[in-house]
Amino acid sequence: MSTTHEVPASHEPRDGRVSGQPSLWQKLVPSHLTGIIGAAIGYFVFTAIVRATTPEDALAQPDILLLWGFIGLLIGWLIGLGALNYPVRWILGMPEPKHEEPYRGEGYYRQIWRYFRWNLDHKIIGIQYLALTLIMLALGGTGAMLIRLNLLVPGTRFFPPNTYETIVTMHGMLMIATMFSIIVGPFGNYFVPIMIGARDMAFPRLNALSWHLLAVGVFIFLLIPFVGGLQTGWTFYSPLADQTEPGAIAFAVGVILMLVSSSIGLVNMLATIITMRAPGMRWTRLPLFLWGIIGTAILTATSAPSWFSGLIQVLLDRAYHTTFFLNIVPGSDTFVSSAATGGGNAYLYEVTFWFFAHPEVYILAIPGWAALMEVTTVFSRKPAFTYKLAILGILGVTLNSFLVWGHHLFVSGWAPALRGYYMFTTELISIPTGFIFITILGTLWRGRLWMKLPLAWVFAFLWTFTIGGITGIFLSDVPLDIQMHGTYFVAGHFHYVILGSMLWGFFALCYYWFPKITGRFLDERLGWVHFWGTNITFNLVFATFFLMGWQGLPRRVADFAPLFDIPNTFASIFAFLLGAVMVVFFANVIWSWRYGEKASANPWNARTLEWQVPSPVPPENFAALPTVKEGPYEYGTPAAPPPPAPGAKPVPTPGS
Amino acid sequence: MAQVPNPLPPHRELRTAIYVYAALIVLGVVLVIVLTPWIATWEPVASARASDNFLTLIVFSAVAVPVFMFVMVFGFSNLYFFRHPRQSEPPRDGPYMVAGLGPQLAWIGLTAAHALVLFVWGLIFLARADAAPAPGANQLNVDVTGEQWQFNFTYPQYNNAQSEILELPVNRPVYFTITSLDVVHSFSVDALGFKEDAVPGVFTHIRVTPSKIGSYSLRCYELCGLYHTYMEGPVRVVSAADFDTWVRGLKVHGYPWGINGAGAPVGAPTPPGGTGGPSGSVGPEGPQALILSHSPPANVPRSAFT
Amino acid sequence: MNNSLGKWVFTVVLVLLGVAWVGGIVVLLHAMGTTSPAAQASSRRPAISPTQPPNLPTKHVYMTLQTFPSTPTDAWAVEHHYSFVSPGVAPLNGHEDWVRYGPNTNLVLPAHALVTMTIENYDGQTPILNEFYSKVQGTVGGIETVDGKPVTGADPSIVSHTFTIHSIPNANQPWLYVSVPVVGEPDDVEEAGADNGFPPKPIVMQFSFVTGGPGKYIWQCFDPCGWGFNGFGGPMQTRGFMSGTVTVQG
Repeated sequence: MSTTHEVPASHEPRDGRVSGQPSLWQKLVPSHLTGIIGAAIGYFVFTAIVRATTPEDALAQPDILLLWGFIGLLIGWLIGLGALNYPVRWILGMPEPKHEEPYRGEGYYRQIWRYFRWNLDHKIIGIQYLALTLIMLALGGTGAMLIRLNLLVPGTRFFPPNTYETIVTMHGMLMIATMFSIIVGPFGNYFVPIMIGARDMAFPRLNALSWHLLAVGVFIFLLIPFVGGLQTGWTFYSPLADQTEPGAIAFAVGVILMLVSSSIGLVNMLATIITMRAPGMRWTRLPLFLWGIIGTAILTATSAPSWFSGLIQVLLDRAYHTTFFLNIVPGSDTFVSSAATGGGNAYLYEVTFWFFAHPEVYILAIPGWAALMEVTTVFSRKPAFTYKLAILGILGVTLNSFLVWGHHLFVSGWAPALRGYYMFTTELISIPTGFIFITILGTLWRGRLWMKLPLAWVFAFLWTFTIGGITGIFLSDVPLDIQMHGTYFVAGHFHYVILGSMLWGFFALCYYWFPKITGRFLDERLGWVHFWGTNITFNLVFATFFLMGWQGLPRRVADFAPLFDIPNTFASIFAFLLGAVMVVFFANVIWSWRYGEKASANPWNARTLEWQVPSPVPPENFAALPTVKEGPYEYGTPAAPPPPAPGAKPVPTPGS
Repeated sequence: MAQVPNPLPPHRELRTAIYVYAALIVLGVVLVIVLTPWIATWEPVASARASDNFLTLIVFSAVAVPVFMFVMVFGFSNLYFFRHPRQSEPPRDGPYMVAGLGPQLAWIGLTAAHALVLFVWGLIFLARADAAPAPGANQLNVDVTGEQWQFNFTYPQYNNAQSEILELPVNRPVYFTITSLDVVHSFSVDALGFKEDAVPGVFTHIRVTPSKIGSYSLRCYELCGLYHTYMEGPVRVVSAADFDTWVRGLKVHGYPWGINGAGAPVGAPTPPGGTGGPSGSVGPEGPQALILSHSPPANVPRSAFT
Repeated sequence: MNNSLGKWVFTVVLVLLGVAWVGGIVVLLHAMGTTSPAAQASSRRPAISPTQPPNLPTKHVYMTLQTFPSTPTDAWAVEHHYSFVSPGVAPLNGHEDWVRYGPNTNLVLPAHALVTMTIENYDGQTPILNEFYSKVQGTVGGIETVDGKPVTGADPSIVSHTFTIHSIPNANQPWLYVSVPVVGEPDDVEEAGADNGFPPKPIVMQFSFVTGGPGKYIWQCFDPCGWGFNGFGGPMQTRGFMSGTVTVQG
């Protein structure tokens, strides 16, 4: 634990904290239980009010009822949680609510039910995020299994087209939402304050709000099949979203909550990094993971409002017959061209959507890249080869990703004259992306590669993301995109990119930081089964996608031509195996949390701040704030401590 | 701290890796050129547009080989050269090695040049694909209407003849005008190498010149609701004479609809005389009387596109 | 040792639980998506039937469909000896006020046969957007009869629905395309039959077409007769109301 940072050893909680056992009443009121009760009451109260005040014929469609019901559900959930107590009491000049404060103290800290309530500790929120995002990953994966099951044999044997498209839509959006938060949610919340040497986030209540909005957003989203489903795909293109089944309401409300949750969570992290760095933590001493968080936060905060407004406009179009995106007056009996009526435009939705949804791709990718660069330095025992170029790469991608959304509209007929410009900016983005690669490759080169699981996932990234990036170059070329657009080639491309950066980065971080969060290692044998199983089956499934896409198989269709019988069966079988291998990972997490091999405070011999405190991290993180003396990756410098002699300071490793 | 001079001697691993890299580039380019046409067999290539795309696919794959091989060689060779032998204990720190200005500028320059080459290629081929036909090329106009869940086609130069089947003459430039009556569709013929969205309230355009007689298929590539899966249909590219016969046989001229035998049913025989109703033959009143109408509108041939 | 065995047992159990979870969801969604059994074409002639035209397949079958502005009430069904098969696709809402075809939207026809279809329409008029679908296409003789009168098309403003068979899910089956307009009741007639919401006497469309080899097709209505944005929502977007499947069996 010896580095040049000054980290005081004592971890006593600050004074004035409550200790001792809470009563059952204190445990349950307020908690998620009262939140759920409040949500149910809120739903029924709001729907009753709407029923009583809305004319009968406006209620023939369930849209208005559902919309207000979900709003009531959200408000009831927040009231039931006690989330609104503080602002209300603050306005009224009353003291802080008691239910927020005691659970940060040492006495209650070790008990399981602290995860099931409104809690302000960033580490508890991080673990809540880990659980929630893993559940979302499992549900999204379930959707993938259902999709592949329907495509196992031709002829829509298992689900009719409407159910199939509902599953496709839910799989897409759930996975996007999962990838949105699977690194910045658990690991961002848990490690951002520790890595900069702070005790908590800048805005702990905003942090808690972010998780609880995501939770209720996912719940509302999961109601889609029970309110009728929808057949739009996650792009939710407007004229279709306006006429599809009422599942669209649950989709829009759920996704709005997810967007708000991500935005406030990331802005909070950005504020924390800007204002709460420990003494000596200069910008150039910031670990690359935090630079990734900074880029992601800037992207999310500036692009998410675009789709947020778009979704609200769709909700109004559906429930109250406004015409933001419609050029035909709802309910009119005649078709009139756009000059005469409505005034809305379908392109407006597409641009509103893609202005968010292209930066969104990089919101997914950047934390993954940053995580993998972080892990690479530790396990090749070398400083980052090009630290400043890596920062430039992250910020360059952040900036550049606002300039490229038009490449999703190459075939839409929108602004054909701009296609050359968007082709240029899209191909330009390969340059900052190259900075990430040169950082990782240069760091690996001549290092002393400690082939633990986190580093193994870096190599998986090199393979997967390179293929994803190269296929992206094909799609950035306008004429070739006109051929490939909407085919399985695109589906293969973005699965390679998103899994290759985000999910592989998440796995690397899981194996890397699990000992810090729980004090135990993830099991290594199960980990290698997961690693090889995932990489083999993943490549077999999605390489098949490229082949099918070349031959013109469209995305999101429930049935296919006989040409694709064999490839689809092949892809489905290996997708099922991929699903099984993912369950191995879940088993590993659950098992190792309870029974894993115990880890010391710094088993990887890393030099960043989070490894200089005990595992699991105590409340308040640091008894006194540390002082930072050097950059995060000063491996191999004369200042670095001598390596531990073999056997002198055993590092526990599983199986040994 | 960070001012440690680079103490590293030159090393033979770099030379080995560069040799392997060079060899793999050559091998990879050869493989790409040989294998891509064999793997990437999309539908029969039936227009210059599609064959250009095919060429771009091969060229881009070949240009991507150095990039791919760079990551593979300089990433994965580390596992061979620099792997710490024992997993159970941490290795010593590696050498303190950070990049100087030269390698960074070289990397930026190479990736930028690579992107620029692809961009210029793309611009040239985009211009080729969108080029208007030479004056006097007798361009065929086809209006495409998408509606959930079928496309139908109007030939404005042929008295607004309409059909649910797309038939095109070979080697004649075609100019599609595309719109939708409900949601966003994407009109595509893979064999002709194009795709263009059908957007409600908007007319979009695309040009193509079919170059090979044959039967192909068209379909919708933008998820458009319940039966999007089945939004497809046949395309026939035929000789100019055959097309002329076919299109003049479409006796459907906008509204009001024409006469008996409209849209000659494909696959179903049309009996001579056209009987079938309970009242026997079509009747003495003549074909025009067959339009059922409460208020006869003016007999003006009308296209959906104005 | 115990620990190391335990983790493998736990992993296998969790994988099996995962399989059971996915299987359970498949069963649930499959049950939610189940449609009514198919309507078979019958060789029994309906009360009014066309004469057999020459030069056509000798195998001749008949099928009758109805269109309603809303689901028929039980009283109406008893009175008219009508057994309505619910589409059964909407889990939480029967949509009884939605316009629909009946008695069933999954049609089964024999291959290489002459099919005579009768559509009895109780619904009012909804102007059609795409006039292409207000003409009769793909039928024998290019005509249909409307209350016994042969026509090749209808004024787009008096059409109620269309009955259109189309699409090839794959290239291994013949192209089958039949489209006829379904003429609607005039407004005064529609309002006159207010007791059940239906006019007393439907408008009867009749037409014949020839099936090719075996295949699977869909049929649908192209007239925006539904809810929401310009009438393309609701029943137009939900399986079993204004659309269905056609299975041609060999």
